[in-house]
Amino acid sequence: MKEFLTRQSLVLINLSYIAIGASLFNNINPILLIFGLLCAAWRIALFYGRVPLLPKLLLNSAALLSTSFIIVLVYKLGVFSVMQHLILLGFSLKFLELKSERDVHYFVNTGFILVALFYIFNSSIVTSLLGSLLILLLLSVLLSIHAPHSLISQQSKLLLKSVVISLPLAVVLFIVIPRLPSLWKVPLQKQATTGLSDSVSPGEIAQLSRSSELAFRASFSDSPVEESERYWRVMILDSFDGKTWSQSLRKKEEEKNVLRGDGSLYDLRGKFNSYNLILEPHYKTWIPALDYSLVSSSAVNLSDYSLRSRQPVFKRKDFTADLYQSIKSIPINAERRLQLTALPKQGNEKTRLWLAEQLNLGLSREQVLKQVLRGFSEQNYRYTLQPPVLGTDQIDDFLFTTQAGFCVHYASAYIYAARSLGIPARMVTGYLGGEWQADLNFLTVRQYDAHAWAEIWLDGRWQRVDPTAYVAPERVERGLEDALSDSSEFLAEQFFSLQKWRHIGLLNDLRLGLARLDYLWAVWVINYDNKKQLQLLTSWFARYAWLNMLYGILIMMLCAFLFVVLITFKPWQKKKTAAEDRLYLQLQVYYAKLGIIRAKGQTVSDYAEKIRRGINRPTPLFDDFAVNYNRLKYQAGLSTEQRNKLLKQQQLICKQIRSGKH
Amino acid sequence: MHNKIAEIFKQLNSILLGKEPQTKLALVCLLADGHLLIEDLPGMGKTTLASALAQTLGLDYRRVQFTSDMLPADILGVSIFDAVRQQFNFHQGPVFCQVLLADEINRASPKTQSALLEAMEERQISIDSDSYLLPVPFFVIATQNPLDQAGTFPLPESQLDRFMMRIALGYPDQEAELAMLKGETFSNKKLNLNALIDLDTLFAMQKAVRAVQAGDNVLHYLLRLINESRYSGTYANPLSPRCSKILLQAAKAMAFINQRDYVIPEDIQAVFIAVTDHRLVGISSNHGDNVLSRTLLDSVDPLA
Repeated sequence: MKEFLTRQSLVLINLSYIAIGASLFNNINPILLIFGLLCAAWRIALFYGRVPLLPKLLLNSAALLSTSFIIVLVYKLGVFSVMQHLILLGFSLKFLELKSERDVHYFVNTGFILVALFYIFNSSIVTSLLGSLLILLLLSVLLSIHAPHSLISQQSKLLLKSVVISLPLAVVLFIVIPRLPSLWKVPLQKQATTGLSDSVSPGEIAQLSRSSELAFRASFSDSPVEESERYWRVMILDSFDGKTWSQSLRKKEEEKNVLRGDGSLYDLRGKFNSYNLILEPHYKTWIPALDYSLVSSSAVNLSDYSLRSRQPVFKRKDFTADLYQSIKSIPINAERRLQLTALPKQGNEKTRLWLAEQLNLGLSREQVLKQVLRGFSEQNYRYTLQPPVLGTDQIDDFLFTTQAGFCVHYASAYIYAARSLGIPARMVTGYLGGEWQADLNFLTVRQYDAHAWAEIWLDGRWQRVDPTAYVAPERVERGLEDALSDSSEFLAEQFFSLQKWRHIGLLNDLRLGLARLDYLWAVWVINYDNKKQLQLLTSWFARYAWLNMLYGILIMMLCAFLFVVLITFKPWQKKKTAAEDRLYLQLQVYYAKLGIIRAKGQTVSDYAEKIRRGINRPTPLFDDFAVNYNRLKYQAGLSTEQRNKLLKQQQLICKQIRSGKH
Repeated sequence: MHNKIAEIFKQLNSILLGKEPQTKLALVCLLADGHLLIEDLPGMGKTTLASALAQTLGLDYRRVQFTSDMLPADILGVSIFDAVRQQFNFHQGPVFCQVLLADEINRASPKTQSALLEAMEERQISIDSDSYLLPVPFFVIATQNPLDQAGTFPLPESQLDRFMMRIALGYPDQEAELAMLKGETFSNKKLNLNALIDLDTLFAMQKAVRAVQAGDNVLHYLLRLINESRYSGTYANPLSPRCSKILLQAAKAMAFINQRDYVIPEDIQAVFIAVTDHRLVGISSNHGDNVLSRTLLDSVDPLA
């Protein structure tokens, strides 16, 4: 074994350490990251000969200390997180002490495990490619160790060649190998979510952060639903404390119960379409749903028409739901009605006063609500993503002072009005619209399509009212970009987002192409399961007769291979060990336990000598055994009788020796 | 017969102190009807061993000191014209004896060496179209100085192959040397030993050696050793079929001396290094530590 590493290997090792550390950046505690940076710095300084290799004792004690420290540090995040941190810690420490080829093997193998961890958190095309690059880097480390004398160009050529050769095999394995259910459960990692949260406080949002990150994609079995109907319902917020809209405890309770059971059953009528969703991971259970959707498996329906997945969505997942025209509503009882009209007792006096005035003018409650909406469209209200901050009386401030805001503000004010008038009302959050890509036949919904609207209980059913539509109808019809007259507000932070430059033709094509690729990736790679596998293979077999043949040839080749293996090793010709040899081997095992191991070229007499010296005492039994063994094995013309007699003696000696005599 | 052998050993070992393995190998070599090459530095007792062996076995013994100006005729003999009888008379050279001690064989020129070596193989010599048979038995015990000494002609591989064994004597251990210095055993006086056996006994012994049995198991072991030298790719000079034959002969003689009428791997191992090392090494190395033959021996399992 070589005891030193070439400079080239060291450069590659440093590089791969830094790359792998960086790849896990998001999921690792900053303290460990800082430790990793220190390791890298020390190693680089070592590379330039500025510092010595750390002494073994120091490293070992550091390992013990830091292990316990890390466990305490990330204990709360669960077993998985602890494991992941420990692996990275081990990786860093190995990296720090790395000096021989053996160490590098540990290093590289641990690196592979970390790349696998990276894949748990990242599943898009780009990250997959990044992961592949990491693997390539690790392989190059191995190569630089095993072919130290070849040129870098030769090495990279060899590396690429072997990767390219193994690629088809990987693809075939991916397609053909059955998908096993995961052997262990990967606990939920990312608690921070993107997109929708389960509470919203309109007054505190000064600037809504908009992201062009993908939320989900949808394709329809029939033609897509109309743009004005693309209200993707996600969550119902039915409780308002004067500042924040959130889910009531009752609602949360219901959701929990439903997830445990079968979900709510509705009386749905008039199936007219169905859609397939590919949902980006958001680490919660919600599934966006159009009105009115019914799912079959792996998800459940809630009584408020929204959908929940049974498992949190922690990787891209697809769901299929059927769409129905109408639904038979379940009437709300008095208790529920009370809850759905509940408001804080104090505050927002101006609004209450204004509503009372309107009622006094003789308008019905419904008419008053219409009046509110009319006010949104006719008065000086503005749709903006950067609204001024509101004071304690949010609704008053918004309706009478600032008159500027986005969907949540309008929905919030409207629901407040409805509840004040005694009409049950609730806020629905979700997504509105999306970009229909006609050539690709799917709808892309991004995080900036997030929306909030209101539902009021009138005429014995829930009716959707989108107050935003009265302020900025184009938000509903054409999407967010058109709703903002000053388009610098749109994706202001994301200069490099392709979304922002969609008016440049070439870039737009590029963007659409990427979207399509990403879609296919999600459908065929991330969500490739047993069902899809079976589907694919059967369709292929049906379509291409030669595939049958190919499988036939494969099976034949397998048989031939087995045949060759059998012929080569000839298990039926395996030499039978002679009786005397068996006894001899037994004794060898016995003496090997005492540390006296027969060398390969040692004869039985030499072995007897060795045993004698090994246990430092005369060994008449084994000496006899040796003499008898030589006679049995080598003496020509030994009669069967003599042979059997000798064998019997040998067995006796064997037994005696193994019972501890010599 | 075995009593005689014990006596022979006793006598030999009283002359050469502390060299039991070497005297045993030398005796094995003679009993197996092979020639012996003793290689060591000057003054280690090579000549003593050879002459002690010849005298003890009661054989007619001659010693030839090889020098670089020696010619073949100096060993084989020469035809001289007899003016009285008007014909050539052949005058036998020193090779016509039962034991020829060829001292420092590598000092002679290749021409002379090959004359002797041909005689060793053919057991006869040809001069002027006449063939003369050599006496029976005919042993050559050659001694050789290590090759790094000046003025030597190394024996080529093909001629090394003629010797059944090559042994080295090595330094005696301290006790033996002390005994030597105290006693009279190693005086400058000419050795004068009693012959312990006669020629018939020697022939009987050789016959007994030939009668020693070698079972399949031990022959397989021998073949595994030979094949390892040929096919493992480690050895530049693999062992020839002649070598395997000689190896078996030597092993039989060893079994005989160990009072057994069948060969066991221990016998093969006991003679293996002496028989094979000079063949494996060839002329191209500084030998003495028997690395190659020992490695070969260690890499083949007698069991299996």
